[in-house]
Amino acid sequence: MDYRIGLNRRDFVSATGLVVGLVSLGAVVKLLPADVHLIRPPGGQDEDGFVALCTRCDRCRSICPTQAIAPARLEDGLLAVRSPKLDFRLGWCTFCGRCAEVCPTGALPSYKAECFEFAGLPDEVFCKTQLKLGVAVINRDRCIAWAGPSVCTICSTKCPYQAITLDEYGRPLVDLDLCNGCGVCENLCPSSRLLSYQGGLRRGIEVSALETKGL
Amino acid sequence: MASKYRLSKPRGFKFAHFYDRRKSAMKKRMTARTIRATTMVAFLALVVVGLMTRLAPGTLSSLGIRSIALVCPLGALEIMIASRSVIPLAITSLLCIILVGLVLGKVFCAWICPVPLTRMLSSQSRGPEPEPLTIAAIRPESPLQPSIFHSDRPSRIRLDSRFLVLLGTLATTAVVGFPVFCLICPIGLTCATIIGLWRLIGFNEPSWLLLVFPVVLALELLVFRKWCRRLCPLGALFSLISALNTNLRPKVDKQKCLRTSQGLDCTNCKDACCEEIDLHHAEQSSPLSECTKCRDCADACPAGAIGFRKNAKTKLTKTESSHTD
Ligand code: SF4
Ligand code: SF4
Ligand code: SF4
Ligand code: SF4
Repeated sequence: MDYRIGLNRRDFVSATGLVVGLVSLGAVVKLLPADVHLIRPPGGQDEDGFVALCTRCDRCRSICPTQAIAPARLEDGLLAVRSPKLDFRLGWCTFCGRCAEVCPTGALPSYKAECFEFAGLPDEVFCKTQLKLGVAVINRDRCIAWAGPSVCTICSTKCPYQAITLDEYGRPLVDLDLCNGCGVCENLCPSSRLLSYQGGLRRGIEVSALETKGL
Repeated sequence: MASKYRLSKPRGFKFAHFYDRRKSAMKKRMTARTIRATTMVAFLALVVVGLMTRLAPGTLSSLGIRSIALVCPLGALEIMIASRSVIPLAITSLLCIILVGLVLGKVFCAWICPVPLTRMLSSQSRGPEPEPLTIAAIRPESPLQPSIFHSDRPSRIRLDSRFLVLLGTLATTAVVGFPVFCLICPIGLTCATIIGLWRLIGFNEPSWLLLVFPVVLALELLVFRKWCRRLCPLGALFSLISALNTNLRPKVDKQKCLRTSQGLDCTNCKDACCEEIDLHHAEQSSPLSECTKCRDCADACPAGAIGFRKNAKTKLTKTESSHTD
């Protein structure tokens, strides 16, 4: 093809400046230890693969019927900013697969799911998959049943995957194999409303990300 | 006859739109600019639709319905390089965008991209209109150089500083393994700021990005200046594609043009063009592949001499079209 070089010094300097900026930005993002472990929508669990593919288009966040997806903020890290993360204070994941369906890049690949109705939450249809978003962890100082003397069985009765059992004292325990990190328990846990403000806004049960291969 | 034209002195900056000119041309100019501003805002409004509904139209990074989507061509290249894989939807997006580029050229840059919107806004706030120029003031002392028009054939590609940024972007992406340009893309930052504001108001979710992103945007667009012409790697991609585009190119009607018909030293079309295209001096001009079909030149022309239709009655004679841009 016919071409011509059209590069004057000023443009060259600006462009080089921008490229140097880009390279340093990339290096900083890669080298800074990312200490925040975000919980990604289902399918986005391989963090390195996910950040390579996500164009931050906001489609998955928009479609999520429970609005569990939030855009990552700058506080979540430069690499993650604008990408989708699950916020179980806002909703939970039913593994409905809609986010994977709209994701144009395969950052959230589609997956097989078997859906079922769950009497504990009759308005929702949950699906069983091979995926694990994270696991629920009980904060014993914040859990009403563990802190005593009150009784609370919300998480154990509402877990769609029957991953929470009660011990002999009626305190919840998480079955790490059954829990897939759907976030229902965290969403419904009343402790940040019922317990004193001491201990901040932490809830009695919270989903934490699995060890990821990412940085 | 000449007295029915009134010209005004263009300002030092490129987007000088306050030319005083024929009433009808004035109206036309208003329409082209207004329509462009409207389509740009409409595409940004899709972001808000995505926030208000669960239709997931996406943002300019990727627009679509359900599982059908177009991915930003630069984003598509970046993610394929970053993930070292072939992504079907990225490939089909690229093909669609190439097709659109062949038919409509760099139309994205003037009708969809929100960056010129900021420029329109800032040029609007630059004070009062300049003094109108009289015809006498543009009557040249010696006869003008004859015009050398652009040819009708595909343009030569100009490899400029934007291609440097494009190469830098793709190379950096390959090394760091994620679409690095997306972090500073002014289009992405604009959409992110809208989303950030929405989250702040609707979800009480403040974030530093609400401060940082607008500052970076301002840096890119105001401090670097001429982002589109010098630095935008997306524009570079669109220029490559539109090199083969021959539709909707601006053409000068020599019977009407003040230069060619009356020998007056009018440069309104050249001064209006933010892509530095000079329709009358193909040899010193940006190639026509850079034309964004913004119609600013047509609207700036006091004689209404510029048209975009293929067979506008502005056929060039052999000698005049002998020069290719
Ligand atoms: S699978 Fe469904 S519920 Fe879960 S995050 Fe995606 S859209 Fe939301
Ligand atoms: S839909 Fe896919 S590419 Fe778009 S923001 Fe969500 S994960 Fe990223
Ligand atoms: S030649 Fe005319 S339509 Fe094309 S970019 Fe320049 S001003 Fe806009
Ligand atoms: S085409 Fe119109 S604006 Fe351009 S030189 Fe001729 S009269 Fe002036």
